[in-house]
Amino acid sequence: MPPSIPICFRMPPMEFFAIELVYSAIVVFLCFLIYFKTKEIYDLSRYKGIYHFRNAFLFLSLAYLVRLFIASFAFSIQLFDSRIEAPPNEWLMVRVLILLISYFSFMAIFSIACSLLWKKLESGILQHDVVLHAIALALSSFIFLTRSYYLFILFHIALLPILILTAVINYRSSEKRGPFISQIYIIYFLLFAFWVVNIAFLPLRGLQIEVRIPFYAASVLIMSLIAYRVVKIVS
Amino acid sequence: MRDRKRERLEIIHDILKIIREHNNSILPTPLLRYSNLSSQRFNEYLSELIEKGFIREVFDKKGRRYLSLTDKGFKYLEKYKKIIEFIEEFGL
Repeated sequence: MPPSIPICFRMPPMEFFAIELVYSAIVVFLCFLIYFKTKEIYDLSRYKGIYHFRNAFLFLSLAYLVRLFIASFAFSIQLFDSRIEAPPNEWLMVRVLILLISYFSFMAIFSIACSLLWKKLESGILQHDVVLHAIALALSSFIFLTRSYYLFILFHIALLPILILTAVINYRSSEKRGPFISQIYIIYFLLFAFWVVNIAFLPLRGLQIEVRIPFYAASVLIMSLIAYRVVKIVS
Repeated sequence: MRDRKRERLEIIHDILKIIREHNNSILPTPLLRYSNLSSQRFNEYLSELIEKGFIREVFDKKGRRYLSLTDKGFKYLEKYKKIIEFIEEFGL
């Protein structure tokens, strides 16, 4: 009897890999572009809002990188043999990846909220980065221990209204508002809404590429809009 | 007379701009006067700007302390508008 090939080493079709790879590469590139293009203005100003803004895109890029691994792995299992139970160490790997993606994703959402509300948080406990990391780690660990991917999605869906609320508070308290300001809140919301859709779709069986592509295109479009504004201002 | 509270970035910009407008060399006392800050706040800002390398201290033969901009200080003035525009555009 031939030795069985571990599921994680079996390859999904090239078109799936190509689309996932191109999509992830574009998004990660745009996130890093935003992060590095804002380095100079942050180094000069040491402005807390810029610090959290940069962190949001750094963590989002890391989350998208982990997502690529999970997507490839999940798709491999679905495609090749869903009836065979994966060995425990492979599922442990998936759970560790979900722990990582949860942590990076929560940190990205917290960072964007802090970038909008940092002035109001200055006197509170949330001004300390370590508190944000601890909350993100606690939520991620809870997801890891309960083994529930749906809980992961649920937490993210619950965080979206909080993100809207921070935008509303920020808008009401802003003294100065650029012409782009009302649009940026919508863009932030869409950015994370598409992120939630992205991660929610991952475990769906048989999701066609034709369905994935419009979501990916919209997601790239939103990220490109932010990157374009950043580059236009700082260059 | 300004009718609103100046923010930290604006105060730093004003201090650096005053130094630049005085041929990049000014004594601390006139700088304090032009900067329109209390003595305590001025000293806090000055210490921070020296520590972070925006301003350097130069002593003449009589031991008087002059303040000059470093390259980083000039860079800050050059980029100030962009920093403010960025903050306003993204609601930070």
